[in-house]
Amino acid sequence: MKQVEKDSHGNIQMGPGTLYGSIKRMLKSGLIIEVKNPEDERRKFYKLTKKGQKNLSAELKRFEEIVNLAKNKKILGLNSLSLNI
Amino acid sequence: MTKNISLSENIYKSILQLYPPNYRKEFGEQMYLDFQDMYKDAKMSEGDNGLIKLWIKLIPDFISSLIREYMYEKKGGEYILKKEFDTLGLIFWVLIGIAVFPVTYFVSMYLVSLFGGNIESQIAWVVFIPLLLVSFIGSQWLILRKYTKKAKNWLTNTFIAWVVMILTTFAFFIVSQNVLSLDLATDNQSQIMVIQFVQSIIYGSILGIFQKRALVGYPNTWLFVPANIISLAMIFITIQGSISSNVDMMLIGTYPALFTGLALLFVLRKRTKGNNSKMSGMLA
Repeated sequence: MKQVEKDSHGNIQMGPGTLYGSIKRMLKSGLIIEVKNPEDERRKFYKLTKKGQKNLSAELKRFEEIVNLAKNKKILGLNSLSLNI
Repeated sequence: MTKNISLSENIYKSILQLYPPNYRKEFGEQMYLDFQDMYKDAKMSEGDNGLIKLWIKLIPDFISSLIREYMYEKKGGEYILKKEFDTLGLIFWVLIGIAVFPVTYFVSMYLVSLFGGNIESQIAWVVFIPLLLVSFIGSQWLILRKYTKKAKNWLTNTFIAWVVMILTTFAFFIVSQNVLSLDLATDNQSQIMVIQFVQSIIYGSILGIFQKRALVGYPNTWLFVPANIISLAMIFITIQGSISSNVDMMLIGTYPALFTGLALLFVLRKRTKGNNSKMSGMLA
């Protein structure tokens, strides 16, 4: 949670309820799996599965395409609402 | 400071008790450990102000996640539904039920005669019964694959249920004849009806429980138990103890297909939001 907040410069904040709800759904969908960490047995650790990596790549690609589209349309960074899309 | 930690810990522990039991069991301890970390950070960096900010952040998170998790529970937990089982699904399901018995019967008889066997002999039944089970359960699996990722569970559990039913029948006959020395042969119509009634309940329950197990996590799976009991009772009532016509053959498959199909309409009908494989969907 701290890492997400730090990486997003404080734009994304999530509590334990949101985090573990997401973890639960990702586990059920086989995107992540639980892994053991001998150094801290009380804590649960998770890692991406191949399916998870594939989904993440696809999702990043989708975001990249959206950003590229925004760049091509020259709307990236504009604050005005008068856009000619 | 100890007092503050204890108070916050106690409050958070109490809050965690409000989550659904399965969720709490799986993630409760982790959420509590994370809370302890967050608490320490907040306290060390900003003191009591940090604690207030922490609780302001946690309360909306708690309310939204609590509602979300109960919504999932209410919808029968998280299950993977490809498509709703609709009227079209029911029609295919019943059509297969109607066709499978006579088709398998004629195919197995043809196979027996092809290899020079006598279709009136016991051997014909040894070919027919396994072929019927494989065809019936296999065809159901083919249809269910379109509607759920648990179709394979249906295949294995229904097969196991049949094995259990056959073994139960053998065990019953062995115990009743060799141990209890009971004479099960009777012409008394009311006794036959009682036996068939008991058979419907026992066999229907076995099938229903295993099918319920196959689709665990879906709502209304308990419907498979009465569906199978009713369908077996209907078979007994209709065919009157023996299969004497092609219509009887078709009815044997029709009743289980019709009643389990009707149950499936209520089981495979709801869709949860948890099915989206996209990461963004997961984090929503």
